[in-house]
Amino acid sequence: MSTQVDRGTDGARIARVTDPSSLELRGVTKLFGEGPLATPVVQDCSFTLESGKLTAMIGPSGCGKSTIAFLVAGFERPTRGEVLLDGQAVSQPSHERLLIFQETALMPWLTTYENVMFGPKMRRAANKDTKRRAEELLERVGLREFRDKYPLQLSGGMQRRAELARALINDPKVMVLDEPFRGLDAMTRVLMQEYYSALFEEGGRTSLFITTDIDEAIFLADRLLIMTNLPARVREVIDVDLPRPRDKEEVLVSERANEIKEQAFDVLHEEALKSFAGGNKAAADFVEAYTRRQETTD
Amino acid sequence: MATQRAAARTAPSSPALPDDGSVGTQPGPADPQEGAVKRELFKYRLRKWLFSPRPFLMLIGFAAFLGGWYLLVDVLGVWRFGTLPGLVEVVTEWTAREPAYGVSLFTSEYYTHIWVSLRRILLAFFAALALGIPLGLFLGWSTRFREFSFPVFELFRPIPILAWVPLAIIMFASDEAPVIFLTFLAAFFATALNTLLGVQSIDREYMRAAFCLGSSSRQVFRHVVVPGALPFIFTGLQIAMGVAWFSLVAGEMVAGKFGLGYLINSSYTTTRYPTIIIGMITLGAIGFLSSAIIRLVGNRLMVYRARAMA
Ligand SMILES: Nc1ncnc2c1ncn2[C@@H]1O[C@H](COP(=O)(O)OP(=O)(O)OP(=O)(O)O)[C@@H](O)[C@H]1O
Ligand SMILES: [Mg+2]
Repeated sequence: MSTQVDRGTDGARIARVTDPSSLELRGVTKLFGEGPLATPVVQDCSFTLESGKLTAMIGPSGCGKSTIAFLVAGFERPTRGEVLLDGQAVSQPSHERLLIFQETALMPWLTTYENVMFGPKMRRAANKDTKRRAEELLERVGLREFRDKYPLQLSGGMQRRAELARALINDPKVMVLDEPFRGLDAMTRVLMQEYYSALFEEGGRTSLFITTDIDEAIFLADRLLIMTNLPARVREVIDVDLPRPRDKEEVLVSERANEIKEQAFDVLHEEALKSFAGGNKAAADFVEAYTRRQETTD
Repeated sequence: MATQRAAARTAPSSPALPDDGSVGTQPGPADPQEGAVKRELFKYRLRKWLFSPRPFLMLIGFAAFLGGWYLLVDVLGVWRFGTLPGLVEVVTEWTAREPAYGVSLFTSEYYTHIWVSLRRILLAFFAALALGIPLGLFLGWSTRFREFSFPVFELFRPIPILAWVPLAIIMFASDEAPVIFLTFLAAFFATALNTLLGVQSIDREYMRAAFCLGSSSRQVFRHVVVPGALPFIFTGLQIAMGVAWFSLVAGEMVAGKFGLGYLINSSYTTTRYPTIIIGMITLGAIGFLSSAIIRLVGNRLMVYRARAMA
């Protein structure tokens, strides 16, 4: 059976990126705080987002993931080190590195369609072609009927899909998604993961997906970056060599997925133990849950 | 098996996908029935309102007020109420073709006062809007501009409007300008301050998203700061309209030659007491109307807020 039929008409598919970009963080340190009080939130952090791959960043809450997203987007400048897009240092925000925020950032005063057309309009590229693409993208994310609604009239999942469409129409070289499905109910979250996975597989755009959910990370990613606690650094890189296209039910029960999950859990546990020793409450919860999990699986 | 899975994977998109293969080419909500639907909705709402307890409660409220007035002043005349003009006297005067004290619905003098006050309010209000909104927007947008001008602004803002009266009269050697100036000043401060707060209330995420989507600073100002501050701007305009009427009446009492404030004050000095009440009630009604108009315009400009509530 052809998957094309299942994914709707050809017009509703996302065009494949022909030469995907790569992005590199090289020895990036970011200090926050005033003068003598400045402390590192990101320290000596290096990693590469390989071209056409989906990299998932996973780390405990408050470890500095959003800060890394802001550094990639160009809202923050590294104190030391650099961010390179295809070898070129980045210095300011641009539609080439599009960030989908942790909280929804659709303009509430614009309709869904107007939100999607925001990028092209700003870049004076609101022509017949982009307008048609906007309609197609809305179709693809299942929001055609909602094109003239305002964000506050959409459900949480619809808002996230509208944001995906608003980003994709700009053909970013790199897409960064900062915990995009946080706050959605469990059911919607699963659907959104499947949705996003299909979109990524169609487009093949270099992406960084930030999350705190291991299952989500393994299901989506080609590669996991496991982060240390504050200050953030890459603690471990794990390749997720599961075949694509992926099916959620299949992937998460497969032998290989479980191995990866154990491996990731072990590293996260070690990190949590370290910050537990430093008096971190969230880490204590993690350590406790992990211990209980070991008891039940053994 | 495999097809089932594949179908399950794309499940989220299927409910919204049409089977006819028409791919998002329709340009918009070109719905010819929309007007009819709106009319039906209006009729429905009107009927619902008429048959709800609200209009009756409203009538009861007015009846209680008028009844209380009639009873306390006209009938009993107890305590200090005996000194006030009674309900019957005021209504008779207001609706008389030949009013005893010169001002009623049938005299052109009444409308002259209303018109003069209205013109002053409109001039002052639109001047305040034209200067206050841009000032507030720039105060919120540019840190440098704010640091340079906000302290001065904050020093002038707390000065009560009445304290400006002598300066206004010295500065403008006419009957009209001082009153308009005082009215303007009050409305201006309220508008500018609320606009500034409006800009500061905008989530940083919206600006960052706009930059991310390729906006220049100017575009962010035009497409994020202005619409983002709009709700606060309209709150500011409501407040501005309130203080504008306040200052207008104060100004007219001191410096005017016509207008409702002047009418009230001059009726007092010439002991035409029912006319005072006529002036007051007229002020109340026009003040209410002016607020309602601002609300209406605001709802028109911020459709998204009204829709979200519905
Ligand atoms: N602008 C800033 N100034 C000072 N400290 C900051 C700033 N932004 C973030 N921080 C601090 O940096 C740390 C990391 O924040 P960040 O938002 O990057 O973490 P996160 O991993 O995204 O957390 P979460 O899972 O809650 O989203 C936090 O302790 C936060 O208080
Ligand atoms: Mg975060």
